[in-house]
Amino acid sequence: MKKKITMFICVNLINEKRSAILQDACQKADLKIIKIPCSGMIKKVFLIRAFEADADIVAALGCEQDKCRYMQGSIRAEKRVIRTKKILDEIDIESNRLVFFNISSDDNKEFSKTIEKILTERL
Amino acid sequence: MIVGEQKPVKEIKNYLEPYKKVLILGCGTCVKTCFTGGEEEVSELASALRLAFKKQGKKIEIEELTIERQCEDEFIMQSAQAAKRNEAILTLGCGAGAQSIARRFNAMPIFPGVNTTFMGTLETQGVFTEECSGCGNCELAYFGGICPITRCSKKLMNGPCGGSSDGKCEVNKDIDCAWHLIIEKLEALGELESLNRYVPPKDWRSASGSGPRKLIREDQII
Repeated sequence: MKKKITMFICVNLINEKRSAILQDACQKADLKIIKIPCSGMIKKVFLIRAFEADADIVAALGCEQDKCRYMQGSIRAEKRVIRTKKILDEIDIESNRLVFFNISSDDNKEFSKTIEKILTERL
Repeated sequence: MIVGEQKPVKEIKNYLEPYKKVLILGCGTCVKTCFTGGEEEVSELASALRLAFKKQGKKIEIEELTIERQCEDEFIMQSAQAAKRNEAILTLGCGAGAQSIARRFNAMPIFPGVNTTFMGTLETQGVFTEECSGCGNCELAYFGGICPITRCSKKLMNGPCGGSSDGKCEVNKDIDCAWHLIIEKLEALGELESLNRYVPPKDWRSASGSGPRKLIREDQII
């Protein structure tokens, strides 16, 4: 059975090449991609609800901290992921199933590697 | 505002084990401001509890609702229909809110989801500080607007004590010495002399020493 993944991704990280990488990833896993205007819009409840909807992995992808178009968006996102991990720990859900990555907006190779990591590695 | 902290999800889950239909009731005033019991926290907790029970193989229906204030009957009544549909209520209001809910829906089990901690201020984003003990007899006028009862660890009315060092309290170096602050403030205002004024010993009868307090406003009672 394909791994079920929910991925929240900042739209500022997506370009033509990366769209193709994500499309390709959708063939390899049951991947649900949620594009958001900034990773700072990720709420903790979105992450927990993704697990409620049976996701094996929930990933949040934000820009590099100092490159966020909205200043502190990816810092906020990471903090919310950390807080959500604590909630998951409290209810005995493996918090390593929730991951956050800061990604460069111009290094497509790094982007591809991160997606591959989310798809293949036991996180 | 009244500042509170959410109880651990495990503790809350234990309360709710016997029930199949539960209302999580948030409060849109103080506890919302301190990120403990507003709409967002209600939905996060509901989702986490559903997930926890699901993992255990148990199905639970959780209804989510946040009212403006849990400490006023006028707002509490807005949750009456939702209360009727459920077997128990988990309130994310402060202790006063939770008791108001328990009084209004006295035939239902009510559980607190929040540990009410203090009356405080938002010092900076995400940092809340205790600043008032509700002693019922405010003496800030004498102390440059800094409360020695709340902010001095020893509640001294004539500090600083010998434990004050570099403006910090001996109890914890993260705590500012309230008396250091008072003296600095009065000095800046050119009112340091005012500390020579005789201030009678504090009358603690207005604090909680005489049992639960009540404020009656005859002009408001119809």
